Amino acid sequence: MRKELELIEKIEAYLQGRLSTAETEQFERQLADDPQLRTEVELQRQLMTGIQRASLRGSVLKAKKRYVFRRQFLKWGLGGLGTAGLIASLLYYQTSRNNVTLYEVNKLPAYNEAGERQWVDADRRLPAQTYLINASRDTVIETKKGIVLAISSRSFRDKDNHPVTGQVQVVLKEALDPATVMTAGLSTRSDTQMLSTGGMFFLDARQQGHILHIDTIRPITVQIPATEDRAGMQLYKGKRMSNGTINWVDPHPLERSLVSVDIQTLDFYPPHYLNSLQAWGYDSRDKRFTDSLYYSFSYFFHHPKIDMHIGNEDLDFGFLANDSDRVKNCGLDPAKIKTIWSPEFQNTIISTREFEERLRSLYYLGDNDLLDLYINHLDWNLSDIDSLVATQSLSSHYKHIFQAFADRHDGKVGNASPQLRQLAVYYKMKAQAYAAALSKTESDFWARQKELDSTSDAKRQQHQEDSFRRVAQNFRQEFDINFKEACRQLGYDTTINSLPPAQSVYTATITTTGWCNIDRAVTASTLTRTTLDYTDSATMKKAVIRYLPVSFQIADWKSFSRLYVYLLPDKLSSFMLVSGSEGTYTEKLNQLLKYDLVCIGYKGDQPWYYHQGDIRPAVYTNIQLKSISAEELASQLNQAGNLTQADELRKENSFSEFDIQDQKRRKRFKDLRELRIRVGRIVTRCGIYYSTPTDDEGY
Amino acid sequence: MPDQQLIDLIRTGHSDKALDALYRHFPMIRKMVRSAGGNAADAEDTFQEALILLVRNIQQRNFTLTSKLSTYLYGICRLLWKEELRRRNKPIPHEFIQSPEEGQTFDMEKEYQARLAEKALDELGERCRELLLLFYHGGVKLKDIAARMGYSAENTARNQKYKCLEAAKLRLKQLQQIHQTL
Repeated sequence: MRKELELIEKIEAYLQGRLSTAETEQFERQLADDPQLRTEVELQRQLMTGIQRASLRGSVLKAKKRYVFRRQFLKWGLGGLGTAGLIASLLYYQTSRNNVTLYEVNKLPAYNEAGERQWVDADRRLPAQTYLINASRDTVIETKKGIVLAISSRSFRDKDNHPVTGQVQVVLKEALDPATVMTAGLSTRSDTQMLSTGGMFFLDARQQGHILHIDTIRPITVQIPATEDRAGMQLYKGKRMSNGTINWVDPHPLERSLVSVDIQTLDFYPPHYLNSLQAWGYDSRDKRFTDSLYYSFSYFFHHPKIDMHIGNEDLDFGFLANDSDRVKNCGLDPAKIKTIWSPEFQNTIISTREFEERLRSLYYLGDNDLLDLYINHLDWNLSDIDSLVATQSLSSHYKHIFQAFADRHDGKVGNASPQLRQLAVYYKMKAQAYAAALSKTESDFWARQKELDSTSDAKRQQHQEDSFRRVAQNFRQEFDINFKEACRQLGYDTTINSLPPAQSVYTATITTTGWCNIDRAVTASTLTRTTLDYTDSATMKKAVIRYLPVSFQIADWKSFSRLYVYLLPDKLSSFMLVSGSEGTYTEKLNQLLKYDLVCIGYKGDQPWYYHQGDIRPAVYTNIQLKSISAEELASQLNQAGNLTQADELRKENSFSEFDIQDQKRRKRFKDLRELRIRVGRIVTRCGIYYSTPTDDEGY
Repeated sequence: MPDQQLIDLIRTGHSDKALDALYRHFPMIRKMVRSAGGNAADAEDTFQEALILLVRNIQQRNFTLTSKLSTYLYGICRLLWKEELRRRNKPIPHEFIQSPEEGQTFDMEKEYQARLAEKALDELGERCRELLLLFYHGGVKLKDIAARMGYSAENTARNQKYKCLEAAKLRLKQLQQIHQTL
């Protein structure tokens, strides 16, 4: 087979002039030597001519159709009326008698349209609408209740089966609403079966009293306004019964033309998408939001295996399958939906409620190829595509569903644009372009989040290091002060270097217990911030450094999302972050130092501030922070404490501000990630987080 | 529409519009065929065949119009109807023999072969025909044909195309043999 295929492709290339000069020459030499090849090439050449002709013939036949159509319905501009469900009596029996009189108000001719002397209640009760038309011309009639009839020229024939010319009287009676149906005494019965009616009408045509019938090859097109949509509506003929009623017989399926609606009013989202969003507290009416969220999922259809990095987690949101064949059934590609949900598809089968309904089932099947069947056959009747879908390899459940769609005999949109084939090409191009753009945006988005995360991680790391450094520095400086004071009280030389020995030589330098002891005691005291009470065993001199407790109670602490309490010691270059909980912050004050208190709180983005100098060991209650602008806070912090402290405090505060924003961003993306996981279950069928929706409409 | 505009439309691949304009001449042809022993169906067949020939001729580079396009079309129709009458062994009206013929420039035998090829395609069945038309005339790629016609893969469409083409060749050979023996 492979060899034959190659030969055919070679012949094609030759006939279409796609071979290079060298290849052509070689092929022609082969042709000269091989009579069988010559025959093959000649046959294929003829077939290609035949194909060209066949296509041309198609164009010619279309031109004929348009020619006939133009001639017949030059004035036919009544689009948008759905021929819809009805039970109608289109009575066109051949006449055998011609002894009839004209219809008059409340008066019936002696013979009915079939030439029989039989009338029923409905004939008597429904008023006749009489139209005089020229039988040689195409005519459109619209009745009082909105039935539209398109009558071709020479649609009527007389009893000898000759086409009728000249003036013809067309009589119509209609019963479209239940009230009229009932008061006219019309039944909705087909033998013993009850029918659900979509409207009934009666049509008769006469010329000078003579009964006419319709030429079967020039049928009259009738459109009945549909109040509701009912599948399986058929056209019945009315048979008058001797008891004065009509029995409806001989049903024929109707081809329903579809009504195009504004495509933006349709819902092409996956089932449960909008109401789930609403249930989760999102604004499902904000189409910009719902669109961008939904379309962003296109990424997964083009990058089946991806890792989404959010915060410190690597979240595998990929599909179970790696190969594109299996991804195919993972749900409908949002890029495709974005393409068809656009004004370009207005006035096609896509912009109809009927398609919207199919789409819901297509979402459950999740097969993009099935969706393509609809888009690639825009010029078909919707029901024909339904049948085509039903023949694909589906579960019997879905075969049944699509067969049921097909049984509705949904047609196409009236007044549809003839450029439907071109739209299919447009669709393909646009869907690819959207998919590429959406993927790019999507990957850029997550890449940016990753970048932001790593920047903020670095900042946080820096902040932590700064804090450690500050604590260490505070310790060093306070230790220095304590040590000197202890030495002074003990009568030691205070000019001595108080720096602790370098670690590498620490153990080797212990020579005097005095030094060592004081040092340890001071270190321990500074570290634990407890009062030093030391007696030198050699001199019996005492050293006392007092640490006394202080506490601060912040008023209305619960209203702050963040609250920081700092102490600024006068002799230290940095500040101390005071720890506490539930609005109460405690620390121990070194009697050798003087302290300032600074409190910074945040309610959302709004900073609050409190400052007090000369803090003593005591219990400070009801500390009231005041709302302050960010600039004012910066300037206040500049004035607080000494220069380095101010600088450090400013740094600390700017980190707080950054941290507030960053936590917000992280929260937003945590929310977004969770939302995406949830929505992912709706949009895709293969995501590892996918589970069957429980409220699944029985599909 | 002026003739030159019609010719330009056909040459630029907009035959549809040109055909719409040309179809208006149908009543004239119907009258001619009816007056020369044909019925309405004969008239339609002849007219449609003539339109195909006309478009194919205009698409050829060396085509020059020496009369009005409607006259040319009328000439082709006469020629075709005369051929048909001859084929049916029917008498050819006097004025048909005498009048100078338009559209003599094309090879009737070659056209007949092309018609046979078209017939072979017609007998193939709708799906085969659609596949071959899409591929050879529409220039649609096999991959897209597969998607459009519901084949599972491009390769399935390729094999299907091969089978259809072979079936068409076989049928064409048969038709040619029948034609030769007649």
